[in-house]
Amino acid sequence: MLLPQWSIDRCRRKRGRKEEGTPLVVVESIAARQLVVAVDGAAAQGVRVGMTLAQARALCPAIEHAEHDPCGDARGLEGLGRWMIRFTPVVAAEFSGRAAGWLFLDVTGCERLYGGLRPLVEQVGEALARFRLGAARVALAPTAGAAWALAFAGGGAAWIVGDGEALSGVLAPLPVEALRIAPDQAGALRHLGVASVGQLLKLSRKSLHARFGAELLRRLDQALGRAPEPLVAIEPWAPVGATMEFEGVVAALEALWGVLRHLIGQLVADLARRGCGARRVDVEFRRPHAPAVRKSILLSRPSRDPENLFNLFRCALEEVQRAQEAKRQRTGRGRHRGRGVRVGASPADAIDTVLCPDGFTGVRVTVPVFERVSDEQIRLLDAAAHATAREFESLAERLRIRLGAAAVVRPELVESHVPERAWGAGEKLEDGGGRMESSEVGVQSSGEQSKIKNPKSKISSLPRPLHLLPVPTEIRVIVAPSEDREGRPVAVMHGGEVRPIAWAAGPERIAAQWWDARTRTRDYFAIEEAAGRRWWVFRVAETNRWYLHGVFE
Amino acid sequence: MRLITCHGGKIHTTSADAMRAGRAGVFSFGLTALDRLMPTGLARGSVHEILAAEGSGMTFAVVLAKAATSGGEDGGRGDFKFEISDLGFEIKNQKSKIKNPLPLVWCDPHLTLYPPALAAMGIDLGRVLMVRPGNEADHVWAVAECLRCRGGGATVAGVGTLSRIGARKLQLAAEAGGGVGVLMRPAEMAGENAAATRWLVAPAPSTGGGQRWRVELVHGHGGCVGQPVFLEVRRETGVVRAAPPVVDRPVPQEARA
Repeated sequence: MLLPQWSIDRCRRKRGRKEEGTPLVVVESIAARQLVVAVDGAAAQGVRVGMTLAQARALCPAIEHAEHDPCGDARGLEGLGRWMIRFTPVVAAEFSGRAAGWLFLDVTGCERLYGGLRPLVEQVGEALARFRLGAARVALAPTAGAAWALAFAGGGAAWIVGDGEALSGVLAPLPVEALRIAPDQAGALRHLGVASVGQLLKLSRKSLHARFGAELLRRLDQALGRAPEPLVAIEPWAPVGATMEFEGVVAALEALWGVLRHLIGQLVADLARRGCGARRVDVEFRRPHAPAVRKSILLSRPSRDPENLFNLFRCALEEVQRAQEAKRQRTGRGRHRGRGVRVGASPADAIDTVLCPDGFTGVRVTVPVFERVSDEQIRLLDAAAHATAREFESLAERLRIRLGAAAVVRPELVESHVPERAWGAGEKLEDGGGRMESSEVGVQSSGEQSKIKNPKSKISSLPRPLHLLPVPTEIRVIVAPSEDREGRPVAVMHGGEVRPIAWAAGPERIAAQWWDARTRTRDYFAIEEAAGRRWWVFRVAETNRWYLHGVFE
Repeated sequence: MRLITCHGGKIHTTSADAMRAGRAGVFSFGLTALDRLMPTGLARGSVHEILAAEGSGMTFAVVLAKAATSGGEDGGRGDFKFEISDLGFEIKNQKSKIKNPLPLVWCDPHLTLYPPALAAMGIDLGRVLMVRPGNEADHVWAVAECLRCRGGGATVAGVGTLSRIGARKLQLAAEAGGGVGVLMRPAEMAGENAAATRWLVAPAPSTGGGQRWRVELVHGHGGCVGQPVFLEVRRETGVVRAAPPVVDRPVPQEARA
């Protein structure tokens, strides 16, 4: 099965049906020049492979272009091959590196399941048409090389070759390019006047070997079945999962936890055999006469630690239980007022009665996404610190599952004079370990707020309160008389009474940021009332109003 | 009892308190005036409670959490440097001395903590995790979950009312995790508790320099209960130290005349 325009087809599939009619080229950027790698639709206007994009635009103004992505193309081809495993277990995918790709399906012995070779080929063709791979050509032959040659030469139709004896007869009229040889070799052959395979077969093997090397003869022999061509088959994925069906309905929580532990043990054994760790785990509790309760857990790094996985499940199920409880409360208030739902019992009871009012009939745990995990090599003396860091990370993971990603924050200082902008939520917790060390080195980012490389430098020399109000509240302050409305605070209204200020430090002026129209110039004072409480207040210079911003607790 | 050793040509004396504090499972403030109140050291794997009057508590919580998280094996002493000053002992942050700083989790449902101030007090923000639960139920759950974590760090949380069962649950979680829990409660809500130590903190009038707090041990086995200590934060340097109490000094006769 040959896909001569695989890059184009893949781009089209990605872009959807809307741009069906527009001409498309795939371009590759080489040293500031964009060279066309594959052409579709615009070929009629004279756009050829190897042109620059500017030339192509000049010929065909309406042209669309996409960046060449050989790795993505190869992956996509492998995905298509994986889909084709339904026809035969041996599927090999090869991508040329430019635009074309091909799949070999070894259907030996599989035709009986489809009622013969012809229906099988028809089904493959239908599948390709369904995937809108119209340019694909399918050919069937006793050898992989002959199939490729037929697909290359035959214009889109399914060709079927009967037996091996007639093979050289069928291949003889085909052009030499059909032998999967390098373009320069084919060009050299054509230069010598050798245009078809038949002409090539008449030449002596010795002279061909001397002139063109072993590659050409190998391809020729492979096409004719004289030399073997091993196919590297795509390895099928087997899903990782474990299921336990109960004989009856089970409602006891201890039993369920036990089952979950057992299933996780199975998963971990499977993952360890593959050398992988889970990135996403789905759990499904099957219930009688009700849809199953499903929950999926995303992990920030691949893990196959049974204790960690079990703890994550525990958190996730508490979350499910709370959601169900809320739902039940809502419906309970409406309809079953007298049913007496027990709310506010201990968590274990609540799971018993709310999550599984009738018990479960089965538990299924699957790992749809897993990744290779490598055991980290750590120094012996750092083992304790490493274990601490790992525990801490799994804690953050558990917290995020229940509270949401936004509720778990790693603070980081930001270079800004405006107090509330002097820190921000740091790096996302998703990326893996080594955070204890890496957190000290910020990344210089452009714009208003840039993180600071040296943590010592941006700690303000003036004291800041530990307790900063999320929103400053307006307060009334009595100010010492002065001519320019900028007197120092003398007394403050707090709790409905006037409190004299025993000590005040300031003002610390924080000017408005000229690029931000919302901030105003503030004069900060640290004030202490008679009992010793200290507040951080500021006066907005423009409006002369006072606000409480923090408490030195 | 004193242990006297001689190495490097110098004679070193170690007090019994210091030896006990160096033991696993116990940490000390590293601030002599406070360590004197709790000579046996503060236990790891337990909850310590701060009853804070209005306008106080967070600084003392940071002092407590910092002592609990700075370096495991040397009993929390690696973080602080002793300096004899005219007023007593000072503690100073010395970052280079911190060995394996333990993580610090701050449960902050009301979004009040200001991390730059934390950094100014010498806490490395790289090991701080701020947890901001959306409601009270999540908050209690998060505190228990953090305490149960075997990372061995400290968890600081403000809690309002706490039932006896709730307090006991947190203590059990801390025992399971082995870390230190620091609970801040308003002083008027002092109810049931299962904490290992209990401190009463209130603001005290300053003498014009640094801000002062009155710290008193209310409950703690083997501790000196009812002896207030005054802590002072120097405004210029951010150093926490013990300050002598403010006393009414008799005004000299000449001045009165």
